[in-house]
This record gives sequence, structure tokens and C-alpha cells, in this order.
Amino acid sequence: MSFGQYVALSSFVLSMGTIAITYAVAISQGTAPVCNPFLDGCTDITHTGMKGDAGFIFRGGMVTACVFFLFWWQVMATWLKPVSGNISRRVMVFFGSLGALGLLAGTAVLLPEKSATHWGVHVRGANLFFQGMLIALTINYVLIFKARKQGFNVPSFWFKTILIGLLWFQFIAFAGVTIGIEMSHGKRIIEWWATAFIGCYFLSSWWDWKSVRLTS
Amino acid sequence: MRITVPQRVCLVAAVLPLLTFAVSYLLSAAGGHVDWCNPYIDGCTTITATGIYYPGAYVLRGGIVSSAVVFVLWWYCTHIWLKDVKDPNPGWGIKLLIWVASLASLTLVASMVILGENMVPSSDHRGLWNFHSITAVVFFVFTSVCQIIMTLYMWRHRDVLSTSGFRISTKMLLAVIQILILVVLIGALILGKETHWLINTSEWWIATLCSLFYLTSYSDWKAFRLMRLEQSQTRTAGGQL
Repeated sequence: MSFGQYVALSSFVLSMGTIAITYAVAISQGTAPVCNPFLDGCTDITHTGMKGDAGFIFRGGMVTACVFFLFWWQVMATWLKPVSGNISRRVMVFFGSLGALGLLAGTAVLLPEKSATHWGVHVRGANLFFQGMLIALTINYVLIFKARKQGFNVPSFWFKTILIGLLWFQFIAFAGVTIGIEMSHGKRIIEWWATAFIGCYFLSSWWDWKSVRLTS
Repeated sequence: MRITVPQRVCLVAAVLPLLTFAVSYLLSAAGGHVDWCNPYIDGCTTITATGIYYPGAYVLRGGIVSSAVVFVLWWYCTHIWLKDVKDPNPGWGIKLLIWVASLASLTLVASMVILGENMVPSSDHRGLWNFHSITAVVFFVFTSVCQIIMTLYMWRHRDVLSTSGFRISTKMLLAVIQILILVVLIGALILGKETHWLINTSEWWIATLCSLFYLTSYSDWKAFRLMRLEQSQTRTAGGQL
């Protein structure tokens, strides 16, 4: 496994794994309702990771995942270096990193009690994640699209195309993923799906980054 | 030459925790939760104490959990670097060392995520405090020992690794100081002579020395970079991209 693949896999497993385990623990401890959140929207991701042991798991796992997200953008910039301009890559990395840092800060301030949580920081951080990532992933997709025309090999291209299409469909059709303190069922459903799509986009680079390695 | 990705890992692994300690302490002292002092000399408070009350707790939690992940990446980079410059198969001892060091870094994540005002008063939350103490000790001891062993390994193979002179001397100095602190602290604990001052100052110094150790690879990794394999093969052949 190359360094690039290690980062892609870790980004996905840490983020999606944390969310899955957090929800499972929250259900077992009775701090979250039982449902299929992708279909029912009975809870949002934030509220599954606030109370009890689920809170510890969520905060540790998501902060860890955010660090890998930051490195994922560094690897992406390296991979695209031969086929894209400096400015476009830097703008892409800027928004991607901003999104990751937003989520990191937004997660770090979560507390078991709603009244004690800094909702301002959390809401802004989470929104920065979704909107920052959407911008960064879009720039990324455009750069990849153009690079393919120059013969650049992107094994995961069609998978990425589907994911970016779904993300934009959600954004346009449902006014995007905007996080709030209390969210409607619809917004919660979108939040779960958008998070899953972003996680899958990170994972899709596993197939592209076989040759992205650390070397002297 | 531009700074490489592994060099960025070194910088972040050193600077992020040190910055986090400083900001967390300043916020906690300004909030009146810990005393104003030079904790490296006066030992008036522990790093843990700066991460109990908010907002210092947010900073310590976010900063140190992030640092722990970067530590894991540093050990990963070290493993690849050793395979690249010395031996594609560095032996089970080094692989085990890197695994242990990485797992120790993950115990730091566990230690940090439970910190907060939820642990106050300590008498009502003995379980959390015990968990924090045990995982923190595991991190400090295993990380220090792994760094010391890695230093010895690099010393033995300094010519092959091209890490002689100032580079290896810095690593050795940090390792020797860590050994001295650990010996004094463990000795005091065994003899029952430990004091709050000794424990507190040891914590600050060991944490700082562990962080600085990661920076010592910065010079070693000038030519160690993240590349697409097709690029590195073209460079070897003298081609241009």
C-alpha cells in the first residue's frame, strides 16, 4: 500500500467508521433514537456524538479523521502537480483544508450537554466543512476532468463523477447541507448522505494513488 | 528546494503540540483555573490541569489529538525512509518499534478526548481520571523509550543513513535528557520520594522533548518526498517532466 492509498483509506475508515461506531454506541446507551438515518432522518450526526461514551468516540475519531483529510489534500496536490496549475491547486487545497479545520474545531467544542456546547463554533465549523469541501471537491473534479483530456489516468473518474453529481444535486435541489442546532428531518437525511458521499470521494483516490509514494 | 511533505510532518509534529501547550496554559491561567508560573521550573501545574476547564480544554483536546495523528504519520514516514535508504527489510525489531510507537500515540488520543469539565469534581469521576492517567503514562513512557531506541538505531547506522554530525548529536542529546528524567522520576516513585514538583515538571519536560524529537528528522528528510512513482523513475533516468 502506498502512502497515498494509506491516506485515502484512513480518511474514509476513520470518518465513516467513527460515525458508524458512534451511532451504534449511542443506540446501545440510549442516547440516540433507533432508525435508518439515511432514510428516516430521526437524528443528525452531531447529536449521536454528544452524550456518554459515544461523545468520546466521536470527538476522538472525527478530529483524527480531520487530520487525515488535511493530508489527503496535500497528496491530491502532489498527484495533480504535473497536470494542473499552481494557483488552481493552491485554491483547491485552501478550501479543502479550511473545510477540514472547520470540522476539527466544530467537533472539538462538542459537549454532552446541549446548553453547554458552543453551538456558534460547532455550526460554523460544520457548515465550513460541507461548503468548503464542496468547493474544493468541485475544483478537484474540474482539474481531473481537464487532466484526463491530456491523457492523465484516473481509474476512479466515473465514481468521482457520480459522487460530485450527487453532491451538487443535493445542494441545488435541497438548498444544500446547512447545519443548524435543530435540523429538520429532511436536512438531517441530506447531512448523512452528503457526509457519506464526501467520505466515498476521499476513498475513491485509493484506486488513483497506487503510485503516489514517499521516496528519497 | 521546497519543503517536502515528510518535512511538514516533522514541523507539525513538533510545533503543534508545543503551541497547544502554550495556548492551553495561557487560557487556563487567564481564566484563573491554574496558577501563573513557569511550569518547566516551578511545576505549579500539570498539562492535564490546563485541559480541564474551557476554553483551554477545547484547545488541548483539538491540538493534542491532532498532534497524536501527526506522530503516527511521523513514525510511518520513518519506516518508509529507513526502508528506502538502508534496507527494504529493516527487521522485525524496527517494525515492532514503529507499531508500538504508533499505538502509544493512539493512547494519547484516548487520554485527551475524555478531558474536560465532565471530570470535575475528581472524587466523583475516579474512573475517568484513572483512565486518563494510565493512558497518558503509557504514551509518555512508550514514546520516550521508542524514541531512545530509534536514536540508538540511527546512531549505529548513521553513515548509511547519512545522519551524522549535528543531526545525530541532537537526537542523542534529546534521548539522553529523556532517559535522565525518566530514571529520576521512576526512581523517586519506587522509593516513595516523588513530589508534585517533580511529577509536574517531568511531565512538561518529557512532553516537550518528545515533541522536539520529531523535528530532528527535518534535515534528514530534505530529499525524502512524496512523488508519483512515474516522476521518480523519470528523474532517475535523467528525464524531465
